[in-house]
Amino acid sequence: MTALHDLLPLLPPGTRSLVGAGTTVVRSVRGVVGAPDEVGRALVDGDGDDVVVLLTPVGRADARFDVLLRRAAAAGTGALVVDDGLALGPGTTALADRLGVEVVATPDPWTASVRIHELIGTGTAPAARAALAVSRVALDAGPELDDLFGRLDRELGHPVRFLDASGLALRGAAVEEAARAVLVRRAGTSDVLTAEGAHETLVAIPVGTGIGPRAWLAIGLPVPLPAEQEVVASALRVAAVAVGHRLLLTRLDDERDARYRMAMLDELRAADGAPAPQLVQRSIAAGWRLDAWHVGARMVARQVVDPVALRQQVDAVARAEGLDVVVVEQTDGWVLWCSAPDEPDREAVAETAARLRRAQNTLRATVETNVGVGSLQAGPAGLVRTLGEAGDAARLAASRPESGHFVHVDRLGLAQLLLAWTQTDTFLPASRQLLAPLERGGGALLATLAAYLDAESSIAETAAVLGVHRNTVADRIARVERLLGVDLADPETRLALHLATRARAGDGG
Amino acid sequence: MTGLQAGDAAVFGRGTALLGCGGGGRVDHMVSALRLALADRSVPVVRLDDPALRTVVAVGLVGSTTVLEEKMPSGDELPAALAAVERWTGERADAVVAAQIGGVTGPAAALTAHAAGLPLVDADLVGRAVPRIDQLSVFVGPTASVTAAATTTSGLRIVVEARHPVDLETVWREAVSHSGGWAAFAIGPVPVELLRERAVAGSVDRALRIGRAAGDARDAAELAARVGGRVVVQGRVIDVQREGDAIAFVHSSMAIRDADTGAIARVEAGSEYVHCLVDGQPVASTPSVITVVDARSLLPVPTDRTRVGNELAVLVLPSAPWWWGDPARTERMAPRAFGVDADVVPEPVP
Repeated sequence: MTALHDLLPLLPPGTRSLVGAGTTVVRSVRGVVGAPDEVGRALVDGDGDDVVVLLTPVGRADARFDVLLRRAAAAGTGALVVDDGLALGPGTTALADRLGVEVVATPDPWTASVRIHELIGTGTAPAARAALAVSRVALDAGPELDDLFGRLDRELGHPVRFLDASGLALRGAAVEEAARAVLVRRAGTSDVLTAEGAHETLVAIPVGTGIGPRAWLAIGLPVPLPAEQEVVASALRVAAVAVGHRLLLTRLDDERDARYRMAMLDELRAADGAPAPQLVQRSIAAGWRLDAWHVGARMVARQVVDPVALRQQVDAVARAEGLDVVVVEQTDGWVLWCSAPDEPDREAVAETAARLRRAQNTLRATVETNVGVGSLQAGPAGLVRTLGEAGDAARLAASRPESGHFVHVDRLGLAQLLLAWTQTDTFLPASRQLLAPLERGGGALLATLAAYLDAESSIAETAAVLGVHRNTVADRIARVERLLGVDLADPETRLALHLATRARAGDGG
Repeated sequence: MTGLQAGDAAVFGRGTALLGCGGGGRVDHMVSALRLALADRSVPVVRLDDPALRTVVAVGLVGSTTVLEEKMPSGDELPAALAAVERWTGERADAVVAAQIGGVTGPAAALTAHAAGLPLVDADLVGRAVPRIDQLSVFVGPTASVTAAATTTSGLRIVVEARHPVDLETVWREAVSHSGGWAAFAIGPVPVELLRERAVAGSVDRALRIGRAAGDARDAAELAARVGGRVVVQGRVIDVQREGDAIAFVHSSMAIRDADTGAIARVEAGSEYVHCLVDGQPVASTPSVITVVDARSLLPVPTDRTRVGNELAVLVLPSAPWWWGDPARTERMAPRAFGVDADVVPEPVP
């Protein structure tokens, strides 16, 4: 049973109810040509259709329209559909209300009549027509997805939504949680599925390209009319093929560009600061300013992602933060850099890092990343260096949830980098073992050794730092050499012990 | 009935106003003029079958009744028209008959009879009010050539001899639109045999009865009962729409919600009330007399005075039976003849 108000949104735009709440149950519809009195004569007492559409413009609601309303009431017709040029006065409205005949105005009675017929019908002709119409749209539309989507919107009369595999809307309104759950659960399907939500019924079909993740094409119907679902499903089947085709073309383009960029960056790295003129020329053509000041960044995805597909989004979030960046795909993420013709000051570099951090946050809705930012460097060699630093910083960021998995290599950061290198799984136990003999005796020996090495092996300086007598320092150093069985005059030994004391300090020991 | 006296003028005017069906012009000034002119004398009223009658002149007014309200008759126009037609034809009239009883023409005919010193025939040519001269009963059916005179307010006198009443109408409308806005006319002299065949007898008496009933009745239902009519709806006006129209001068449509039943009635009007429906069901049309009164004062409400919010009662009185005697006659009084596209609604058989 379909109520009239459920049909109204699916009729030609501008269709509205003039009288009544749309409670008429629509089981049959009839379009009649002629003036109101002729239409009235076509109605059979007690055996009228539920909805009668006046195909001829009425002109004005005069006594003849009153007579028609009475005829409609006698025939059991619940609603009249008229052209929207008809203005109902209070008298006509009151009479229609009294007789229980609803009045709907539409800019296009013919189309409205046919639409209602189709919406309450069971035939397959509307579905076939929709499929044909979409196939024509698919052929006419350009290579751009937006063009195709816009034409589909107009042809189908419903906004077409494009969703990623998880049901996140990439185009169009968001999908209700319940419907998203259905999409995720039925991810393996290859045909149309429907998901009932609180406010709409989602008709969705997977878009397969053979490469990359799957996506969904979907249309939300405010009213779950079986006939309309059938029409939309058949339209979506054709549309999915057309969308998949365009996705594939776009994907091929993107892949080619990505490979080109990755290869060029690899060549730059290999050129060791002195790129060949051809390489410089190519990089300029790609919009890369090599002879400038660079701040590099490395983004490593914390889960498996498709860097080629997401490059656009990375670029967009960086640009949304006002960063003019170059983004190059890597197997596990992206490298980015900003170039400036003049040397930026410290504040500008710090601002760039802050913006990259905000971009990382924005991107979190799509993908979690570790981000490392290199220091300011100049020229082609500098670019390679800052990207290298950024790569190291990104690895460091992986174990830094407290900093939001974000590390910026500035001067302070370099020290942290050093520390990071010592805090490896192999070095930490080794340093603990190496310094274990010094643990006995309250740690004074360890503190003295650390201070002594920091003070460039100066007994006097160490005594000053620790606030003890220089003989005490000399005595303790002698005991350290004895306990560890080492000679602190040896540079290799000094370096190893220096690193070990740093690691112990970082280790909290 | 022996005659109309000064004391009858107001009652007579009220009756003719109700028979005016919302048109026919406002009677007030003419009633005052009649009362003052009569003073202590009276106008003799004779029956149509009075054997003394030979020829009778029909008098009436043509043109804009709105202008008539603003530009009051001097009292000379109608006697002048009467005199003109008598002089042209060389025949003296034995009596005066109102062209239509409804509206201002009823009292105007009485005043003319008084001025000319002739009796007034207890009859008219319509039994109500109509917008056009060819709707007068004497012109329905075979007609010899018509002689008629008109006097405009600007003093223009026109005598027309026409084969067809429509020609008469055309000439007068043209003259009136250029000369004063309205005119008094006299048709005839009409042989009394033709009148006996076609005129509506007893009209003056009917107007007096209706006027008296309206003065005595406490409400619309009582008024209807006393004059043999019915109230089709009584309640508040919820909608009035007016528009110009090529056929009639104006077309209006009024919706009333019945206070008792909640029914929605629509009354369509040209210059008179023409067609009435209740809940989409046609209940009355011309030639029946559809007249609208204020629900409390029972005073007639002209078609151009209805407003949203008015408390009105719509009364339907039977038309003169003559109009139902032949489909050709009925057609002349059908709603379409008043510029309203609707079929004739037969009167319920009492």
